[in-house]
Amino acid sequence: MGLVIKNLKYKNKIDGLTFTFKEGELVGLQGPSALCLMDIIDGNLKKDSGSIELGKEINANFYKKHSSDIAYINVNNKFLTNRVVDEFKFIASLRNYENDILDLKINNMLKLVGLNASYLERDFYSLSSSEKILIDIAINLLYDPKVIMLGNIFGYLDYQNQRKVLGIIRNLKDAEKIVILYSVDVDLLYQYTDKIIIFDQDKVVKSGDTMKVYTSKDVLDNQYIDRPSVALITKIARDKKKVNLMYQRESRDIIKDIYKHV
Amino acid sequence: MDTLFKVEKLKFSYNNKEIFSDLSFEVGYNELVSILLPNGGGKSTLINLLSGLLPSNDCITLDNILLTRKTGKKYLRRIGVIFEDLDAQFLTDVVYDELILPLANLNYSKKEIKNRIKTITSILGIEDLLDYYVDSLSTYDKVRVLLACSLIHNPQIIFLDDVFRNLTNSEERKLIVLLKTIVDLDNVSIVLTTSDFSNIIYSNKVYVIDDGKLSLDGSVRDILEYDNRLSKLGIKLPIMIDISLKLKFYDLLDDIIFDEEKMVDVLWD
Repeated sequence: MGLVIKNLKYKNKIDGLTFTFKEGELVGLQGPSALCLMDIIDGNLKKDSGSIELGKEINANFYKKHSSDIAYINVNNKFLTNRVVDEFKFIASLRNYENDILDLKINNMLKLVGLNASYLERDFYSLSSSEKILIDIAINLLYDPKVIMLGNIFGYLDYQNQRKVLGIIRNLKDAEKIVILYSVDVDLLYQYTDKIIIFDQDKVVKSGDTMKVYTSKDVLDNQYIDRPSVALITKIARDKKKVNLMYQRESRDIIKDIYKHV
Repeated sequence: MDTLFKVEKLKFSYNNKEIFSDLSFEVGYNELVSILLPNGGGKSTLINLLSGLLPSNDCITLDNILLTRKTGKKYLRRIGVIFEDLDAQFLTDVVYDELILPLANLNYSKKEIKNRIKTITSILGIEDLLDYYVDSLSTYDKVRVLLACSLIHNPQIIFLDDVFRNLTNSEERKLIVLLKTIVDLDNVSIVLTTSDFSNIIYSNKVYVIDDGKLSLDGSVRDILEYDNRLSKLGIKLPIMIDISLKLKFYDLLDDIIFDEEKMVDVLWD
């Protein structure tokens, strides 16, 4: 099925995007227009033209019946209550969730994001930005959404919590969810995503398999967009020094390759 | 170097939880000083304390003015601040109005306002943004405009609360260079908090805070000697520093290199 986008246009931000987000894949988004795309998918912005389908056309009716199918976690999300447990229960009441399974599900979701039950009694103002993001993920996963969109959350997470969220993303992929990640950290997108869409202004520079896109000549030669350091070192070494480095994803692999060739 | 700003044994607790205990550090004149804390380590709380928004235990001194309830006003005139939530800090719609506001409140003459705006916008390269609506600015431009606002009244020191968030890698690099330029050209010191090592590379001094206490201090290169400790604190090293350190370990590099092309040149020349 997937999340199918056809010829999507929005003001001067997106000029005709066509892309299929498939189940079990992590798709990275680069460039500020990506935030508009996420807002359109989440129903916060209205597209000018084009279509978005998740089994059926996503329109105003879709959000009335299937709003739980799409989760959007970003750092600007505002909590509507003061305490974590109240937020879980408030959101559950909005969606008519059964009470007898709710407590169990809430605890399971907290466990999934690596937090213990004591967090339920915490006030939001006492939580760090990392903890708020993890709670937000737990709340959003309560409803078993089909699509999980993550805004630029990695800048707000320390190294340990980044690893924790990457682990959650792995589990979501295994559960055949569609996961979409926007980040300003191009090295992170290069290392962890399966597919990528790179926006420059309103245009899609390139989209497709992450390794293929980021190691393509037109992306690595494009000085107007951020490019991953590991791929850039390889490209420069190959072009300038005629050294046959292989394109690697991780820094430890390029170190090994450099060691062999110096 | 003479001390401009001093924090001596800062203590702060919140809801019976100790956030900072006996935290001390100093900033010299025209210095860029970075305070590296893990996420959740109290970055915003620290900036709120240094800028007098939260009461402290009479332990903060700026150019011999001890920050107390009585001296608060005098102290505030000598500092500038950018908080984490950029959008919440704009009080007007247009960049030019935003810049005039602090000066008008301080009774600057028209000529002084004109001259100061010219100087600051030129240092920050935002002359072309004066007529822009604040809402239409990119995150990077918002940071530059807020920097201009915090500098416009000639403060002796400015405090920046993790202003690098939401910037792309290339914007981060540009901002780091810009901060260094401001310190060199505008007779001001800067204290910034961050969790990201890549933001501190031009700092004159770095303080690392762990669990509310000073854990490490020194130059950027001094701090890099403790890469394992930084990693345990949840502070991720930028990829080029990570690669440089590993290549140094294998004796393939002598120094940290931030630029990809330079690294290739050094490795294969």
